[in-house]
Amino acid sequence: MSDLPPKTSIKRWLVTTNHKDVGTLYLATALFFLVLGGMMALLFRAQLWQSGGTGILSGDGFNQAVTAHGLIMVFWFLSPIASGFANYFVPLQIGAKDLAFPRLNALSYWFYLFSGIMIALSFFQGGTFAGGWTMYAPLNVPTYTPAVEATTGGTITVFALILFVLSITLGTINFLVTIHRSRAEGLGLWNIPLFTWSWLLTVWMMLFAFAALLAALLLLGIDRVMMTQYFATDQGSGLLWAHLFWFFGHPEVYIVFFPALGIMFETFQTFCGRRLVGRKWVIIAMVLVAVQSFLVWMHHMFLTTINLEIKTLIMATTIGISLPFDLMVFALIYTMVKGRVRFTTPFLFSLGALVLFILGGITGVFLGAVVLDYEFRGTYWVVAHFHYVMVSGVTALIAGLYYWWPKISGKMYSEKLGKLNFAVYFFGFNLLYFPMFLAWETPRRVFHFGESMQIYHQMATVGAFVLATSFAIMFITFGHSYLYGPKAPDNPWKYSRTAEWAIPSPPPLDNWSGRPSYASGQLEFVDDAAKATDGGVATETPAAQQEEEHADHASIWPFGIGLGTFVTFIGISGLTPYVYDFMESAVEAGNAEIANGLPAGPDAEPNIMFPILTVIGLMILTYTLFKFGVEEFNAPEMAIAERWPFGGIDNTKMGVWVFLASDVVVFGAAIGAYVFMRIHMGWTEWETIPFASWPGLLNTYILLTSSFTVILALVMAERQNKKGLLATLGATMLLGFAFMGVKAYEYSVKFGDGDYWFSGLEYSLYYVTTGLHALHVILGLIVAGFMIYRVLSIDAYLEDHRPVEYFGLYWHFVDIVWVFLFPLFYLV
Amino acid sequence: MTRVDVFEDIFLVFLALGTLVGIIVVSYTLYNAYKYRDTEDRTDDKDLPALGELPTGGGSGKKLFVSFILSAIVVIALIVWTYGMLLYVEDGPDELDEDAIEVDVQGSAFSWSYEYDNGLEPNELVVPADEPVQISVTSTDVWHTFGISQERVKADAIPGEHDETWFIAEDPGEYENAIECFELCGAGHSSMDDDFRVLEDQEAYEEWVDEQFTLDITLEDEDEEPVTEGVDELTLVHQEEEGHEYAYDGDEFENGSITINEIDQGGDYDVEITPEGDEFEPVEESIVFTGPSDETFTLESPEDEEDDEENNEDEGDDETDNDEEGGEN
Ligand code: HEM
Ligand SMILES: [Cu+2]
Ligand SMILES: [Cu+2]
Repeated sequence: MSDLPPKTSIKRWLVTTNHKDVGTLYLATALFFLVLGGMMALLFRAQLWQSGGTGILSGDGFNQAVTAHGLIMVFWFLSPIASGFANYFVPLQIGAKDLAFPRLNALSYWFYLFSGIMIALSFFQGGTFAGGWTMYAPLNVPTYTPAVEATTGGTITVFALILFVLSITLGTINFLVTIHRSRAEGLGLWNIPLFTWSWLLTVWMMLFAFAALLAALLLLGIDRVMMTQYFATDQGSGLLWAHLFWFFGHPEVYIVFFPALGIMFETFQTFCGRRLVGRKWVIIAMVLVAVQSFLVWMHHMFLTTINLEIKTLIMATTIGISLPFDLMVFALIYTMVKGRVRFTTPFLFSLGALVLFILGGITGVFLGAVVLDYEFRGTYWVVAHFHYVMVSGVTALIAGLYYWWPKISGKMYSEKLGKLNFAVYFFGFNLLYFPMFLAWETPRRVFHFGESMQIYHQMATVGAFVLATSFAIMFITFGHSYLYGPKAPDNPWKYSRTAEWAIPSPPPLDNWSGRPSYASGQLEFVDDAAKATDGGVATETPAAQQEEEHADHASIWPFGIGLGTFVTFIGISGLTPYVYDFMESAVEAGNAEIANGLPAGPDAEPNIMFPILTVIGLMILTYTLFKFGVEEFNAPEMAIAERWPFGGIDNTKMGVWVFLASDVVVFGAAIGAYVFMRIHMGWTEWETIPFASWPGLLNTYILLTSSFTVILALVMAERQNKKGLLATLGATMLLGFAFMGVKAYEYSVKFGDGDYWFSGLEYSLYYVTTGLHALHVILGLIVAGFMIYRVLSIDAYLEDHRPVEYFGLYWHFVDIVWVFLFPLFYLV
Repeated sequence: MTRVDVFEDIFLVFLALGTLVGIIVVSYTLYNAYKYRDTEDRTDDKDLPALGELPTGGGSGKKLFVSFILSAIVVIALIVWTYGMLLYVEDGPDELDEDAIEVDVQGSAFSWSYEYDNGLEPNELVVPADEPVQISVTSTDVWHTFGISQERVKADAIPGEHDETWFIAEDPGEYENAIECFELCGAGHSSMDDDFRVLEDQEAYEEWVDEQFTLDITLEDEDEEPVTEGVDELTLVHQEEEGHEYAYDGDEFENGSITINEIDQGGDYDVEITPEGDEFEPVEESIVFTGPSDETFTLESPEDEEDDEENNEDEGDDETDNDEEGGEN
């Protein structure tokens, strides 16, 4: 399976796991979504030409366009295009051959692509989600009012987002392990290039922020499909969503901006011919921002009922977080001083990005002052502010496109066209977004505004079309270069310093011929084999060298898993009408009670296609996951690498730890939701849902025992005792099944009493939180079953017992979560 | 100080400083980019990056820090300065506690409704000029945001939450669509506007209130003829608030009608009509009185029972009538 087909064959792109291929796929797909999101914007800008709308969109159509624009731009364009650059260049910049888990990397891409297809499909299932990219509750669920109709398309949007977040999570784990553990010899963390630094911090932020979003989306998806009530009540639902969303949402704005910032640092250094001023301080500033980004989310909620003390605190942290940006801006400016500034296209875009960012940052300070925010909240001021900052990021990302285009394509582009592109872009940008400051009294997401505002909105609309033209010029420039451009040298930029410029354009599949090393303080390619035959010191390296020759690059299963998940998710999204019918008939027959009465139903009738898709999807998923699991795929760890601070563990173990860290946040958010809702309701007013505490207690004993059997399994594997390993794994599974059995009994007793997950908020919290945990147990059981199969079929884990250890980590984690859930739901 | 004043003060200072800082920093940026453009005769080769080197910081961190600290001082000073104003906006002016007008605002897809503390529920927001108004905002369905841009007042309308704030209107007038919704709330969000009316002064406002509290009551017999005799007394009793009990003698009616102006608390009232003699049955009804109303009661003859339903229908019509009138006034 090792050889990759040539780039001209479609098969190549379906099976590739190579980081540069995946990077290219990311870049191309992201640009496609840029066009799609742009179309949405042109559509509603046309509607905004006159107050009351030009009539090309209905009220709901307008909301759909605005919402889809926001979601697509933030999730399907901005983050992925940065992922594309990171996939392509982070391994090159740190001297790695590939990411730590190449197949997972391909899987992230397929999840991303399929999630994008899902949101495109959502338009055709009763309309896509129309509640804004912030998806405020209770507009985001079928409520107890006629204000919303829960379309299947809306639910597909939510599941598209879930799939997207899964893609992000996989990518995050992959990059964290790669950057921490695959750096070339001599390349300490301090010394990695700034683009890689910015990406490292981005993925750290992503790990926690997207986990919170995942939890929020899971609850939302369950609300929409199973008719639970997390976001449907007037008992704190609105605020709960706002907290969960913005806990993710604020870090997200830095997540999309940091990679752009990294590109600005790189391009400023290169095109100013000067090392970045205050490099260490810049890195420290970025670290500070990354940490603080989790402490400011409530500045999006100043107008809600949060109290003055909290507002004050958040105002302070918000101002605090803007200061490190000052430092970064000044560092960029001073880097030009005494430099040799060359106005190439990438530099023009970077410089433009800096100017726009300064303006956006200044207007952000206005919003940080709570009194002013009271007036600006929900208006075009906010729209103008965040476009100045976010699209400043886009500007820098375009700089990145021009900067790295010669490396990726092997062709030079026309500077003339590039400069024209910049001129039109910069003019269009300001014509589009600056009038929004002047029209600031207009509420967001409306097309009714005062007469006096109309002129500004018309300017903005013209600007939007100019900006769109500039993107057309960009595509033409790249197309022209690809067809007619002169061949690019290895390093077309004077004064660039990062390693990607030291190899051919485009780079060979294996990146390097020798082993990159900075041991001498300067990039060198070491020929380990030659050294060894010379009688060199390194004794383990020849073996490593040999191993690397076996590195595999092709696997179709990531694509298959992506497809299976896609089909499954589409299927699940259309199940709401069935659940609703069940609920309706249960209520009518007197078998179920609902606290607030029967909610408004979904928009669609039951359609047998959806259950069928769910089943087909699950079948594809089972098959492809199994094939993925048994496939021989060798992605060797670098024998010699800088690994601080994770030198003590291997790649997979670090991956598992990182994954568990994100899962802690997912459960944290779910448990947080419980605590929040319960406090909102009055802690003691809560009635305990389980019919008795003994099933919980029993299950606690069962799980703790199973933790013990997993430890024994590891001991057996270490002793190479096959029978013992089978017995202990089998016992673990049995205990897992016992746990699920008790759970099923407990649920069925509740159902018998007429208490379902849709019966009321407390019931939703109970069923969903314990259900989420049960889902983890089930996933654990599936893995355990697979492991037993592997032991039986190929005597697995007797030589290398580490997978048993990793499984144990996961299993212990699931047990620990239960130790928290038990008292919360059964005792207090 | 009104919220418009507070906003103006802060916004102007921010705008002036923001523009100044923006111009200085951007000009300085462009100046440097131009000044240090690459020309043939540049010889100063300090800090030139080289391919494959390990990064070292380019010098002169001092300048960086001086600029950083300067900018930090500006930003922090600005924010601290606004904090006093925030406290003022949070608490409101002193008069707010005493006798401010209080209005409960409710958003529902896709309109606003208002309930004054005196029980009035007019169809538009009407306030006197120069008097503080306390509002408490909530929603019956999804998240809306209530806002009047010209008064610089805004509050989230979240189901189950009551967001309190205040404003003082200064310029009398009728403002079309001055009340807007600032949070996406569904298909009708874009046009979820409402009119806003500011009256001359407190006196004009009280007049308006009195006008709102006009209750016309007409008594008819089954043939829709005004009842001029046979009524002893009509009483009105507020269902919740004590001290709002009113009684009118039969002879206070003129040609079967009476206009009542003395009530100053809106809400649900129990109506009892006690007949004199046995021409009519007694009447016990309840009415909603939240704005100018016209109520007609049909007095039935004792043996007749079937017309009951018609009676109720009349009631219903009357109520819708009320609401419209409230709006027009
Ligand atoms: C310079 C420091 C910054 C400050 C003090 C700041 C402050 C704020 C505040 C207070 C809000 C909430 C406004 C409201 O809804 O009432 C906001 C909104 C926003 N900011 Fe910033 N910001 C800064 C920089 C940035 C950056 C760097 C980005 C992204 C690249 C960004 C992206 C956004 C976005 C996307 C929103 C609006 C989200 C929404 O409601 O849809 N901001 N900013
Ligand atoms: Cu924020
Ligand atoms: Cu609205």
